[in-house]
Amino acid sequence: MANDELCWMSAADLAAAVSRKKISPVDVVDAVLARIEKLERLNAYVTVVADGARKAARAAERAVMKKGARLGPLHGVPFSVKDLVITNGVRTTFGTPLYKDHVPTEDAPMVERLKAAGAIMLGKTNTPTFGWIGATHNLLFGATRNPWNLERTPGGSSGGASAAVSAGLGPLAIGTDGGGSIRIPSSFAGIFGLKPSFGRIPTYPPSAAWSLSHVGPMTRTVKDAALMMNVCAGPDERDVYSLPAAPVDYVRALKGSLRGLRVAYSDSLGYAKILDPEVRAATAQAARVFREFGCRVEEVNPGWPSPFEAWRPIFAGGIAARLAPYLGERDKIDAGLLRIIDETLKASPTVYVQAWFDRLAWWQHPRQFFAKYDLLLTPTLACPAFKVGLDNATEIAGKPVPEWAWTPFTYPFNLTGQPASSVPCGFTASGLPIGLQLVGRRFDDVTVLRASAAFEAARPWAHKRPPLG
Amino acid sequence: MGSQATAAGVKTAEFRHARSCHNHLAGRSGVVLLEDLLARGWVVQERKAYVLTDLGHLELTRRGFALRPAMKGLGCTDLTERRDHLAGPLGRALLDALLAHGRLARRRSSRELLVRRRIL
Repeated sequence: MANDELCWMSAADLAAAVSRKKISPVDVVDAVLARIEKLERLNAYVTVVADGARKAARAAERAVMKKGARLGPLHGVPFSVKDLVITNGVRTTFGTPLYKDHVPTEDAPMVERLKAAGAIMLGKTNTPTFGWIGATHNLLFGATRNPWNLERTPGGSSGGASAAVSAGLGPLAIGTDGGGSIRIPSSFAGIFGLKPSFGRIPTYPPSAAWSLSHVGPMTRTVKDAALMMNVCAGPDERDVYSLPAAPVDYVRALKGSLRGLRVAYSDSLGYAKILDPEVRAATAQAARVFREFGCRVEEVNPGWPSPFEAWRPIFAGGIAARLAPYLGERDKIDAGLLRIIDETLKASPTVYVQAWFDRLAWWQHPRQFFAKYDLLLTPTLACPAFKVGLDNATEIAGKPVPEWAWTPFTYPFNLTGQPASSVPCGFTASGLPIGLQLVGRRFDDVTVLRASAAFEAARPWAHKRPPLG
Repeated sequence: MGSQATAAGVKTAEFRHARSCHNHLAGRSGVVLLEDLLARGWVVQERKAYVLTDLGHLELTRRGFALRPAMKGLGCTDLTERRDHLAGPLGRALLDALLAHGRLARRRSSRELLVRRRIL
């Protein structure tokens, strides 16, 4: 097999081939490391642990050769870790020069669990400072580029992860999501991303956006994400908000029926004002596909008020608290982020508490809605990937828009903690990927994954590769 | 080596390397500067304009360049390189800053510029 083909295999296929001794984990790791080097211009990885990965691959190969060895479900499969997630002995910068030499002494739970399942860590992927924007650039490593169009951002804040997965630089990536940071880059880079229920995969240490922040899988196929869920979901005593264990096999659950499911599609949720017409057309058409599975699909306007004023102080409050001790080193903090920190530190603490009250009050809207519907579909974003280097999209469909107007659909489900995914559902005429968001009931990760898998089976995307050579 | 001929059509090496053109940087250095800004994601092309990105604004102001966010420039086909260098308000502001910082220096009575330090 050509080495590049190893880079495009799914984790499920890799794990099966490795355990049957069809391919060697050493070849897999070498192939992906070579491709990472070849595509350095994407700036997807900021730290590559080539020696460690090769060593782990050789050990994985020895284990395969041992008679009667018990292999983990991801034995020999490479994965990447966003640089906001701590890794034992491997530099973790949080995307800021303030932490450029920071080397943690333990692994975050998700990293620990992937390693225990036999997966091999290749390195760390780029992120904006503490994940503060939905694009990926920072003062330490510069900008990450979108494999589908190098002039565009791969989204963020897990943009190093989405660029890596979409470019064939490791089939599994750990991303984090405090306002859309798994779903945004998955949508912009044409891959699958799942923000599981809050607490489904434990986090440690808490992220800057702790009560909003989820950790989850970013992959090319839904099955690969389900494999990661099988390995990573479940409580960890370090995370007091982690959910109790659920006796679910997420891979097996993908096969269940969707017949009779009540599905709603909304392109505004009641408050989103502007939507790119190509995104609107592709996502509305994707919603209709669910009829093929026996779902009852309705296009609705739930008429919700915008929860932005509840989300923003909670998100900004966490990052401001984290960076407040470093305000003496202003030149090391992004200008737009400094404005947010300064503004947040000036505000009364009751602003933050009020945001929490507003958050809890706002939940009553989706609560009532999900009594009637099993699944909500929306465009993941209001526009396709914008230009690289920008913090936010500055215009949609040719009209100037305020900051954050391009991502009205993702952050509400950080406030509610509901499971939500983004599936690729088409391309713009200029070749940029478009994503459809699927939102499930509280704790119903299974329906989100199953519906994502059904859509993938009906409209597969993983064979489409970005024009990188 | 003596001074090079500057008859019509023959430009000096200095002229080709760096010069001012309507108060922005032109010549090989100007073309390379624009390529470098694009490669770093500090400037992006928006239709006919070149626009300073948030990242570009951040990195350049950090280096002491006084630039407004989202400042725009235009492409201007370079006389000796036959490719775009950066003109317009962003081009002018960059040249002003490069001169103010002593990275470039003007020569008396010619458009040629002296590159004293690395431009970025």
